[in-house]
Amino acid sequence: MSRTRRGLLLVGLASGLVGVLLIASPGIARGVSLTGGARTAPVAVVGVAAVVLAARSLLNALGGDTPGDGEGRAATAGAFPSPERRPRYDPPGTGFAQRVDAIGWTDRRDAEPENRRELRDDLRDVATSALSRADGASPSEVETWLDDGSWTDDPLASAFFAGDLVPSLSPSGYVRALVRGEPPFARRARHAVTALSKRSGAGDVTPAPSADVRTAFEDEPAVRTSRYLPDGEVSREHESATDRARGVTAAALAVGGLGIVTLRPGLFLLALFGITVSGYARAVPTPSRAVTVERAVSNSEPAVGDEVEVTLSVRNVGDTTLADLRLVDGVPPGLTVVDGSPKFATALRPGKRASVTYTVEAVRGNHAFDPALVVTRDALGVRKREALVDTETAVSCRPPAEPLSGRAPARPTTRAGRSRSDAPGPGIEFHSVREYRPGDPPSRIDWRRKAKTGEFSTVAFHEHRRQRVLVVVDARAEAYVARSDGADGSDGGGEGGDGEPVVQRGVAAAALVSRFRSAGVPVGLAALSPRSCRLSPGRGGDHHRRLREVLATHPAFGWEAPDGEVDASAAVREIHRRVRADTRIVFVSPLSDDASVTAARRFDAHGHPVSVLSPDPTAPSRARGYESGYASLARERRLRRLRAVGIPASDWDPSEPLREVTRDGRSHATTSG
Amino acid sequence: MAEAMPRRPDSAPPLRSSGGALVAATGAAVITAVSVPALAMGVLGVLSLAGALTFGIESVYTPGIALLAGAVVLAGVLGLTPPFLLAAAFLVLLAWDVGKHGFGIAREVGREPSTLRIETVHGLSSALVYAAGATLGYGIYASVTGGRSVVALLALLVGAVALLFALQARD
Repeated sequence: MSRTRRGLLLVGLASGLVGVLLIASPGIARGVSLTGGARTAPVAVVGVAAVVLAARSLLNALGGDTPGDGEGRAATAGAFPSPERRPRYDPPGTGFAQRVDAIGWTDRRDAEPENRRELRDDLRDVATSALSRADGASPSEVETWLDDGSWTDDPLASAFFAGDLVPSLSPSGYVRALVRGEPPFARRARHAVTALSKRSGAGDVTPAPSADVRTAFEDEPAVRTSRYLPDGEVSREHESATDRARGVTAAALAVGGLGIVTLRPGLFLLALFGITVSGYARAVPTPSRAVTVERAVSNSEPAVGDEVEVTLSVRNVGDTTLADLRLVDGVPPGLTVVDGSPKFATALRPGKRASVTYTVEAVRGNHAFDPALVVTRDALGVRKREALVDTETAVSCRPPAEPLSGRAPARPTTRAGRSRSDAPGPGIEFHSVREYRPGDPPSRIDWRRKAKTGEFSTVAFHEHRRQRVLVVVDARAEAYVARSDGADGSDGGGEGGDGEPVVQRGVAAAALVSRFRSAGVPVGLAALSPRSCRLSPGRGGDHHRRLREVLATHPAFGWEAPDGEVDASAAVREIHRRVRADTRIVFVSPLSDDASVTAARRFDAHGHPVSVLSPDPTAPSRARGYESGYASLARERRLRRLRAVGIPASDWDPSEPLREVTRDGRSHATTSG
Repeated sequence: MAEAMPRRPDSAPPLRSSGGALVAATGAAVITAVSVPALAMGVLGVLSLAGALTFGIESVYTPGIALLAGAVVLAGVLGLTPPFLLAAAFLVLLAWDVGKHGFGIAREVGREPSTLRIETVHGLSSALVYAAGATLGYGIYASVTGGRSVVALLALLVGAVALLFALQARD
């Protein structure tokens, strides 16, 4: 291929040279005179050839590049990183909205539209639960209402349960549905959720999806610079060339060919633009990699809510001018930019320096900056080099030592413990009688029985043990749902990426461990997350410092949702194996899916006393779509399922102050059940 | 939208690039307005460019440029003299390049940081490169119009087409 190309290049150069020569001194060609067909045919052939080549070039461009080329480009053709925002957390109910959205026109042809049936069954369960609670009716009564549609006066909503999975439509109804672009079944589902939500007092929602969930359907924007370049790019840099030169060349060939065929010299001359641009693209080198980046932060250990100024400076240490340099700083996922921008663009002469300053707001956690992404291009922008430049910087932000400065409980217990355990041993309350074994204390020998029967037996009492508490935070990817309220007042950048995942509220609530410190209860911490985090129950100042440290800085409680799934049952078994069987579990979870209920019930099944503290992600303060209504109803149902099996589950609106919650939470967490 | 000033969307290129591209495109449309169809294509092209730049819709930009290029070709077929044709093509190319660059800036850098430097450098460089192409074309035109040697013309044709195809390939 490259040999033919070289040949072509030589032919082109030689032929062009001959042409120029002939123009310069026309006398050379005087002997050769072309007439008739010999005069027009070559011109026509060249013209047609040019048009054909242009078409081929275009087809090549459309049909995809060579595999090696396309691979790198595909990986980086995604959205440019925008690290000034937090990762986008899905609003509650996104999964449901996606299921409704996935109801297609084509599955109506299936004999058994599986996803329609599942959707309706799920919604029916939720409806039964919600309506029987709201009206105090028995489930069978509710079933009847659902079947005859008498539970609501919205015809679409009642038709969802009463009608067919694949509604039969009149021709005009079919046309209307086509115009709307949504299958009637999906429309009915949305209306059914809205009516249910209204009926059960879960708040008013609109049948349309909220704006947040609509953005969640779009592709996730790349937020971290470290995720931008394709994986496995060892050198952490990537060179590429744009298709611009190729496009111009194809156009030039086509126009030039047209000019030749139509005998318009002006058109043919336009082909020269193609030569110029291709020649430029060939000749220009990929811009140099000689840049250094430095980053400075005004305060590397800020308090929560402090503003930290970040100064990023870039310097051209090479000896060529960088005509087009764009730089994106690797703002860590948890930090949001409140002033300025972490991006900038400039042209840099050799030895010059440019800098940008922006301000981030500190939140809890250990935030290591990602490498800065430096994109350099040549002046025309046909060649590009993208490189990640490492500059180690970290901002560490720990919440104050005692966030719950409420009433310190005046209970300086040094006793073995207050709570009655099921283990037999010394104590007050009778547990059982068993045969005497050598070594049993004489005070526990049943002397009366000895007098009566002559046999030794030992009385066991309920042993009083110290309660041990393990706080388990649900930090699976499913728990990273956005809190859908505008209460934090960030109207400016509130859309899309600046929300807070509700899991952060859970982590803040887990700080209630410090309550147990003054109560003298050994307390531990674990995360239900692919990023394993476990701290066995313990006591004392050191242990509590460690707890706070882990809560503040462990990646399991980070701001970016973890990759990968967690098998809730397996994770629970793992935690169970590491702690004593009578350890009380305080499970902090938004209950955003059924697996969280499974986890709580598994703890219960392993014999742990369990209580659930559930921060509510669906605060009723903003315009809510149907998916939010479904999320509330489904979560309500999960809470009820937990309570039905005797697991105390407290529902917590995170906009309430933490102190109120822990007072409430403490009643669940430390009183023995 | 409650603000007094309607905000341009974030995907819209910076004002300077947009303005430059529109001015160049308008120039091309004026030069190529030799017949009603060419004028119509040019005006349509400029309008779609203006829409694309104002509302930040990149997918409308390329068709707009294609319309303008079509106007240039039509003018060429209808017999517009080469110097004007070269100028019009130069302007279309410039509008295309500056506009695309602006869209790239909007996508990668955003609105907040100042992008004056890279816009200027890029605009001037592309003007330079395309001007080189136009000058080359004009030079050949000026010298060929005297000679009338068919062999010379043929040699130039073969040379140009072969060069174009050889140069556009990347390794």
